[in-house]
Parts: sequence; C-alpha cells; structure tokens
Amino acid sequence: MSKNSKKRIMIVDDAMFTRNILKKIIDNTDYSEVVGEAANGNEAIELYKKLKPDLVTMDLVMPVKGGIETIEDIIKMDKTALIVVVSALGQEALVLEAAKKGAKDFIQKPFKNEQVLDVIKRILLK
Amino acid sequence: MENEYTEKDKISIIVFEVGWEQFAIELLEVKEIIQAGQIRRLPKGFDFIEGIFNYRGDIIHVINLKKKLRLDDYNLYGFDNNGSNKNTSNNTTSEKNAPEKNAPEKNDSDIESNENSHVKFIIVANINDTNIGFYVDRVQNVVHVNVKDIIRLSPIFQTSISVVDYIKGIIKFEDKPRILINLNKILSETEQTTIKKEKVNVS
Repeated sequence: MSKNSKKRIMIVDDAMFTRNILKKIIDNTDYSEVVGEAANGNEAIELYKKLKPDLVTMDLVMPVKGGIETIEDIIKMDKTALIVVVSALGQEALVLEAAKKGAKDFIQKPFKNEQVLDVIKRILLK
Repeated sequence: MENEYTEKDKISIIVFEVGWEQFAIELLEVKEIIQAGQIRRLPKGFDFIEGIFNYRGDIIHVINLKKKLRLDDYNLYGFDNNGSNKNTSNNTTSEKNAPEKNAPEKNDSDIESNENSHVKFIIVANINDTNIGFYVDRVQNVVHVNVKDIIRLSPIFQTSISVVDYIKGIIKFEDKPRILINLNKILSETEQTTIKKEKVNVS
C-alpha cells in the first residue's frame, strides 16, 4: 500500500468519541485515510453509495438502523464490500451474525492502535 | 501457516461443526453464511454434492462437507456427540497450557442453534471465481487466533496423505484442537472444472 494510493475508509459509529479515535488512528498512516463518517445505518448506506470506500468499519449497536441490518444492505448493494465490525465485550453473538452477513473481520473495544491497523492491513492486502 | 502471515500475526476464524467434528476456516474466505433452504438434487455427479441452491439469483453447487471429508468413516478425536472425549488420555500438557484462551465460548447463537438443531447452514465461498456452498451442521463462533498457535502438519504427513492438501494447520484451543481448512483447496481441479461445466448447464 503506497502513499499515492491511500485506501479510503468509512467509519460508521453512533459515538463521536469512537469515530474520532478511529479517524486519528487511520489518518495517522501513509496507506489509509478516512473519507466519510456516519452515525447510523441509514446514513451509512447513503454515504456508501456516494463514496464507494475500500473498507468500512461498522459499529453493531446504533439507533435508527443497527450494524447487522446495515451490513446486509451494503452487501446486497455491493457484493465486494469489505466491512470490519467494531464490537464490544459480550457482543460475540452479534459478531457471529455480522460474519454470517459477510463482515470480514472484527475489532474488539477497547482497542489499541496496532490492533485496528493490523485488521485493516489484513483485509486490504488480501 | 500461509506465507503471507508471520508468527506475530493474528487471524480471524469461524468455527463450525460437521457431524461430530469441529473445524475452522478463515473469515476472509467466507462470502456469507445462510440458513440452508431448499437444495435441489442433481441426478448424477459427485456423491459429495448435496445439490444446487439459488444464492441471490446465482445457482450454486452445495458441497456436503461430511461426505467430502469422509467424516462418516471415522471420528477424528474420539469425541462423542456431546463433545466429551472418550479417550481422556489424549489431554496433552500443551493443550492445557495453550498460550491464549482461544476456546470458542458458548453464546446466544449456540443456544439458538442447539434449540433448532434441525437448522443447517451453507457457508458460501468464492472458489476460483465460482460461488460454492458448503453444507455444515452448525456455525459456532468467530474468534481471533494467534498464527503462532497454528501447528503446521509435518512434511512427512503432507506427502504421505494427499488429502491433507486442504488442511492449513491445527489450531491449539484450550479445550481441543480444531482443523483449519483451506476451502480453496478442498476440491480438486477436476472437481472444480466439472462443477463449472455443470453450472453452465443448469443456469
């Protein structure tokens, strides 16, 4: 992943705090950048259509439309979509549901910078 | 492990059950996992092909992993249907001292699956540009695994038994090991070509 072809990432999370942390981690690399942020599933779907990002990080529990339903809708729209779930402890069943819908990996909160970047690199380099 | 990973890496795997055995595949290999609906039988062909299935408008072949892996022939670790080990002397020190708690935990989905044990699943994967379904009994969990906890088969074992081509390694879990399967290698080239030809005929 070279500097000239930064991978475009979209963050979906209802908590601004989490979005800001993820954005800082992702933007602080020379191979990826955050191109959009959404606070719920409906916003995410609209933004995905517009941006067609290389990868999406997806919170699972959000108002209006949750992560599982949003993953399903995005995959229906784009079979090649790469989605990484950001989950919390105790959400193992939801992570499994997300994987069934087509999520490619998961990051568990609380996360360290390296954990986020390891997952992103693993997915985007595949 | 595969060349692209180093011993420091972690991978995400999905653990599933076929018959009495539990296996794992890399989550990256999975396109989607769906509840098995109506599978239409094909009049002839490989005995391990369960039939064809309409996957979002794409007619895909569904492989019966129990037949393909010949699991009716033997029980790999001597576990009974409840998962208890018939041969307790197999509990090695290395398993007890596994460096990370990789053991898939019971969760809500497990309970749901147990209550609806008749519900089967199809793991859809893209094998050389062809969507193929793999019929499994139960999908258990998604976990991260340290690459260093995946034991590669010794070269002697690999050369003496050709069927182990599709085995990426054995994952050390606290309770019992699981075989990490490479879905891309589970079908031979001839089998893949035949499936592609049949797919053209039925589409």
